[in-house]
Formats: sequence, structure tokens, C-alpha cells
Amino acid sequence: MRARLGKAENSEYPMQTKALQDLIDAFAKLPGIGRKSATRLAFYLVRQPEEVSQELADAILSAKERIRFCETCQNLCENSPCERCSKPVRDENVLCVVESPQDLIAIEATREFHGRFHVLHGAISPLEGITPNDLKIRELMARLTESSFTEIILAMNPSIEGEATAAYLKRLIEPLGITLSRIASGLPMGAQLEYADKATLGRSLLDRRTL
Amino acid sequence: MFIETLEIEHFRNLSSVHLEFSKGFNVLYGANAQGKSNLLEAIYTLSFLKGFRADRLSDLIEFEGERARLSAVVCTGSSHTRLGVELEAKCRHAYVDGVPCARARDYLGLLRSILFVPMDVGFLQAAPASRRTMLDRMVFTLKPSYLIDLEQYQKVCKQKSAVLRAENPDESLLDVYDAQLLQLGTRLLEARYEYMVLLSPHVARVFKAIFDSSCHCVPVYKSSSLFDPVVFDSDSGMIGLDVLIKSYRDALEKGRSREIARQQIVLGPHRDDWSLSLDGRQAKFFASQGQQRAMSLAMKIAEIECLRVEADIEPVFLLDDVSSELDPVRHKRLFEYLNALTAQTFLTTTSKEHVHLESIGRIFRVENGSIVHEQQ
Repeated sequence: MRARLGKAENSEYPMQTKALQDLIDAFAKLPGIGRKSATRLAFYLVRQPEEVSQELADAILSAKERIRFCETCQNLCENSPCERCSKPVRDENVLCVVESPQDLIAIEATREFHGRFHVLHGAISPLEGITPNDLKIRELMARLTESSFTEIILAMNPSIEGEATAAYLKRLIEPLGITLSRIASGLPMGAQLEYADKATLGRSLLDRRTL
Repeated sequence: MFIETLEIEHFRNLSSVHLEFSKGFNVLYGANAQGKSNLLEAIYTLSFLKGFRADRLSDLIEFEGERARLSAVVCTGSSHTRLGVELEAKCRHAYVDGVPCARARDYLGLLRSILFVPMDVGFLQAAPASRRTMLDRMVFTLKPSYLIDLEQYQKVCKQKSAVLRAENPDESLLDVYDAQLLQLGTRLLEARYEYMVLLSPHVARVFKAIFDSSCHCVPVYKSSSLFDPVVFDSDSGMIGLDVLIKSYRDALEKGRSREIARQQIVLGPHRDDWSLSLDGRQAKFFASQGQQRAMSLAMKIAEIECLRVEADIEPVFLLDDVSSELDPVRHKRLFEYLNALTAQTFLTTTSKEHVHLESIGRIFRVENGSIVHEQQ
């Protein structure tokens, strides 16, 4: 029943030279970039001096070459174990499991969490062909048996996929006897009830706490 | 709520129409294929952002036209809201007081309307999927959070189906999805049950009042995991919600091997169905054609009453060519009942003689795409 409102995409573009068209196509494959933005980027690069393109190409290639998974937290890094894993932290015994490196950055920016991280690189979604084996779950379990964590925070998104991943991990981790928690979901800080969407408001009522 | 004024541009055969309506009855008469139903469809589109006969948006736009515009001033209590809808071949825009509305979810519900068209009379014989959609829409109107649960339930179903289609289904993953399905499915069952309990007395009362005072007509819920249907009859003892939920839970637990063998989800609220019973017998098999017509109309009126009583929402009632469906006696009684109803009603008919209303608000003559208010 939910439908999106908005403009239909205009797919009729006049012919470009082959090289330019290839560049546009390559940009358009990137997330968040539509045909229009791709065309704008391609024309911009073609008009700039060659160094600009060279720098961009080098940056992309070297990032691809040098970035790898940290052997401990599985976050992206240049040297494994990563800088974050090599430094001592205040709460060595708490581990926060997140879906993506971006989520890790978001949680770190709160400065409320002082433990260790683990990045899964996705959430379980059989529909998109993502099974538990495609995520860094095996690495997580190995890490849990080696280290002495006393609490695991499951910080997956409150989506169907995130909840399924959290439930799946719960089944795996529970037998180890480690305290498990799930991040709360509900109203954002400073929010006004009347503007909250129904799903969030409903959830915050279901997950209410006693004072 | 009621529609005060309506402006239509390039919508089907209505090129340019500006109308003011009565708060009560609005009768549209004219020969066939003149544009009566198109006017109802314009109101329906303002309500639901889609037509009731067209599959594609482009079908709603005037032949060889580029875009259709609809605009209405809707009165709810003491507040006036201007709703606008713009349709193009592949997209639609909704406006509230001139401000674009980004999400359909925020717009739907601002103009509540309930539609009865001649093809609705076949709803008892239709495929279960169409009845489920009908029920889901009714429940959602009274309980908006139902839609979110339903969407999530359907998403989990898709994920679980994907696991079942895999070569060696991961059983622990199936357990995870079953737990999610049980939680969401239970909420769907609760909402449907709650709604049926509310709706049932309205259906029985409306059917008795208009169509047959000796017959008892109530809704029935057919769970895919329960052998006996739940008859929503307050007079006799009925199967409780706990039984319904327990049977669903058991079905989820015991159905695993069957689901793996068939590679699909066999049972659950997405497979449930509902119907009506007449004096304790299944209407689908035992009710006459005439009774089935009456039942479909009674369902719509009961839905309006239920909204008014339970949620204090007064929807707009759209009645398309109802005169063709009933015999004269019932026809007369229907109009007596409609007279007592306070909802704003739009009624199309081929002849003014078909309408027996004591106080018609306004009469409009529809001819070849033009709609003219007729002074009485």
C-alpha cells in the first residue's frame, strides 16, 4: 500500500561519444548517483586538466590496494590489527557489534561507548543472497571464545534484516553465557510526539520503561 | 468529513469541472458513458491516490492529455483542508494546502471515502487475496499501525521464502524468521480479530434493517491454521483470540518439514480468508444472488457505521449505480436507511426516478463530460 511520490526519471539522453558514455555509465553504477549526476561528473572531469583525473584514479586504486579487514574487529584498515584495536580502551570487556563501518563511526562519535567493536559488513538477507556465512560472524564467534567479554551490545539497525541478524546472533552467543543487550529504539531526543511517525511512536510505547 | 468543493481538470472525460456539493446527498444522473463514474473515481483518487477501475495512472488522464489535476476543499469538524492531486503518465504528486506531500503514507487518510461499485457484489465469490486486501484496508483505517505491521510481516515472509527456496535451508535461520513471523503475525491476528468483533454487530444490524429482518448475517474469519472458522456472532459462544493465536503458533512449529518440502510458507495470516455467514451457513454457498448483493452493500454500510461509532470518522460514501442491484422493496428500504445516515453521499444513477430520497441535497446532470447543478 505504501507508494512513493515523485517525478519519473527522464531516461532519454542524446547520444554521447563512446568514451564519455562509458564514463557516465561507470559513475551511474555508484550508489546515490543517478544519470544526471553521473553526466555532470563526467563532463566536469573531461574539462579539467589531466592531473585531476590522474589523482582521482590513483586515489581509487591505492585505496582498493591498501585497505583490508582488521583481523580483530573486521573494520576496514590499512594495517592489521587496526589502530583502534591496538590501543587500550576503558571498557575492555564490552563489545559492540555493528552492521557497517559507518555505523561504527556513528557510535564512536557519541563518545558514550568505550569498549571494543566488531563489524559484520552487512545484515542477514536471504532475499539479496546474504546468508550468515557472508558476514563476519565466524570471526565474531572465534573472537568471543578467545577474549573475555562480559557484555555484547547488538547494535544492528532496527530493520527486519537487522532484527533477524540480532536474533540469529542471540541464538549463537547465548550458550556462551555472556550478557547480551540490544540498542533501544524509539523517539529521538528532543523530538515532538505529534511529529513522530507511527511506527516509531508505536515501538516506543511497546518498549516503554517503568520510572 | 465532507467535500465542500471539487475542481477537476483533464481527468478521464472531465476536461474542466468546478462543483460545490451538499453536505448530505449528491445525486449524479445521466445516460451511460457520460462521466458519472468518472466523478466518483476523481473523489476516490483524491482519497487513495489511485483509481478504482484503472490499472495505470495514464488511464486516468484525459485522452491525449498530459496531466490531470484534482483539487478539493475537505471539511473535517471546523477545519478546512485543500487537497490536491496531480497525475502524470508515470507519477503523481499530492498536495495538502498547496504544500507537496513527500510520502503517500502522510497523505492517505486525509479524505476517507468508502466506495460501492456494482462489481463489489461478487466479493464473496472472488479470490481470497482480494478479500484479504479488503479486510486489511478496513483494519488499517481504524488502526493505522496495522499497515506497518503488515508491511513488516510481508518483508519477513519474503526473507523466509528465500531461505526455503535455498538448496539446504538453514534451520536456525528459519527459527529466527519464525520468531519474527509469530510476533508480527500475532499482532495482525489481534488487529483483525478486534476489528471483526467491532464490525460484526453493525453487519448484522444493517442487514436486518435494510434487506431481511429474519436473517442473521455476521462475518466469519477463516484461519489457514484452524479447521473451524471463527464466526463473529456475539449471541453464541465463539472461538477466542487465544485459540486463533495458539493454532498459528502450533502451525509454525509443526509446519517446518512441510514448508521445506514445498519450498514455501504454507500457513499464516497472509493465507487467511474471511467471509460472511447467513443464519449460521456459509453465504458463499447458500445465499442467493440477491442476498449476496445485499450482503456486499450491507458490508459497506456497516464499515461506515463502524468507522463513525468506533473512531468518530465520518467517511464520504461513493455509491456507483446501486439501483441496478436491488429489487424495488429493498431499494426503497436502502434509501430510507441512507436518509438516516449522516455521511456525505455521492450517488450515480441513470434515472432520477431511481432515487427515493426525502432530502436530496443537490442534483447534478452529467452529459458528455460536463456536470451541471440542477436547481430544484
